[in-house]
Amino acid sequence: MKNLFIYLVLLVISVPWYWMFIPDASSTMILGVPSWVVVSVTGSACVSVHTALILRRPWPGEEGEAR
Amino acid sequence: MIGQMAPLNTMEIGFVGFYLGVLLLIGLAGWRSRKANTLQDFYLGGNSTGLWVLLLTLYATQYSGNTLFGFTGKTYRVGFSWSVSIQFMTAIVVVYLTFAPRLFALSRQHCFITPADYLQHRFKTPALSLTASLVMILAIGNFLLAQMMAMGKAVEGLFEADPWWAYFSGVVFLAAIIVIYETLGGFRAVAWTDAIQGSILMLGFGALIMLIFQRFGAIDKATALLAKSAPSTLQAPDAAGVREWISYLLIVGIGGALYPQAVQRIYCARNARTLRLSLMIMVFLPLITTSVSLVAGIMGRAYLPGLSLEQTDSLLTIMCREVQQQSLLGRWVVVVLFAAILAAIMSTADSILLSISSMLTKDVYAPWIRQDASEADLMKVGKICAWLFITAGAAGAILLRGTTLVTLLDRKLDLLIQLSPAFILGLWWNRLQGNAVLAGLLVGITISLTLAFMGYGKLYGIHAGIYGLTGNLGVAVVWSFLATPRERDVNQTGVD
Repeated sequence: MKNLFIYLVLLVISVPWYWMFIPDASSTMILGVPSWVVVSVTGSACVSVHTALILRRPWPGEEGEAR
Repeated sequence: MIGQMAPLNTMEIGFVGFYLGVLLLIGLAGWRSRKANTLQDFYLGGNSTGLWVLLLTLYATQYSGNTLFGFTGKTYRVGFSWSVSIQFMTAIVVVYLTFAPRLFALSRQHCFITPADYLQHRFKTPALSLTASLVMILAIGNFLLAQMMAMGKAVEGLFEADPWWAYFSGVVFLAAIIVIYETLGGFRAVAWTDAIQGSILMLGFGALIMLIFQRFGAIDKATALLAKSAPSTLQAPDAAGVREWISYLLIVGIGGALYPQAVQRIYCARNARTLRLSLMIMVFLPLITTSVSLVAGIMGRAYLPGLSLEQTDSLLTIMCREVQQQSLLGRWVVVVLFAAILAAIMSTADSILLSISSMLTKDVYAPWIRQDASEADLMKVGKICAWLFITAGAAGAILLRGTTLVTLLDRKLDLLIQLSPAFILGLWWNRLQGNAVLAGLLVGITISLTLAFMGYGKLYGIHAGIYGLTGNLGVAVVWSFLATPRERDVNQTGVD
């Protein structure tokens, strides 16, 4: 459940639904691209990191596998 | 024609020819490395694929001609909103988490070869297994068509010949190479060539971003230009755009994880640890690779404005021509990039072809046409199917020259996502019944295709496949709740 909650939070941040309420969002630039793109891609990077952390844990039955 | 690169010279064509020759040699090596004349060995390489080959074959299979041509063209048309592509490619790996661990364990216990082997084991409903296989064949057959069209487009600008003739030759020649190495080496040839193609693809993405920045300068100049010439390309999505964004996350995230060739890569891993580590690395690749297509599309829109809809899918070749004219180094970077483009397309096409051949043989021919066929007979049938299917694909690609690539992508995923109740819910919920899943699948397909053929590929920004999946899930869940659980449905979800 904790992982699902983290994914939901990251989804809310990454999907740029709230930028339509922020005036001049498309004209504010960070690193040469619109700020909403930077936030969205950073959110996506956080999803990747969180998924990698989940994948660090062995899967059921993996301990018994021959390496 | 604006989409043409400057024609390659003899040495450059020789380099590309050498690369294609290596693919054929790998097919031969795969044939010599076969351990047994069985379907398991031919279609899954004996379930012994190691970490790096598995990672590169997953990567090369997921990143196709669409990633390079379709995504770049789409970014050109819609602007930064297509950064959704980075998210939906990441979502594919997240969706794997919901079913890959259990499916892998089951595949080891019961020696699955095709995705329908799992369905037959779980639901014991032959009509469902057959329908699911046919849906997958139809969906990825569509995708194979897209790859073959991309082959033609890639070669189209390479020679000074008539564009139609170059397109025709590209489709036929490259299709022949794929089917030859695949017939020789089966999954081993496909996975090994994918490993080489995946490496070249990564090199190509690196070369592409380097040459784009060298030719056009930093991205801030491009966005400054776009702020004046096409401000809509910089804008965050509006309400309709957000709906479409979420729809893309669902349809590509779920549908992309359910490609049959991707499911078979879950089966073929040497062990669970190998698969887990491959996915762990894979989840970072969209940030590196898909973003390159995004940057290419933005640069193209800023510096090469005014392209027609059809020309936008050839944006990469147009940019290549720009770079080729700069210097000798530029010419060679483009040669590497051209090899990467071919790699992306061919690696996806070969995986699809092998998957289709396995499903036609194992899920259609063996249970429904000739139950007493030996493994040797089935292998022969599989190879014949591959040749017939690629011939049909080549003919289709030649006839459909000019259709845009992302349109084809949408229809395929509308179908594949309908399989998610069977593959994902089926692994977690004992009570889900085969007949209910079959009814849901048929309802989902009917809704999706009806909407699509009525011209509503997206309705209020939501893909037709999502409406279909809603109906599909509703039928499958309600039916399963109302029906009396059967003895055989108990404890079918997980590993014993």
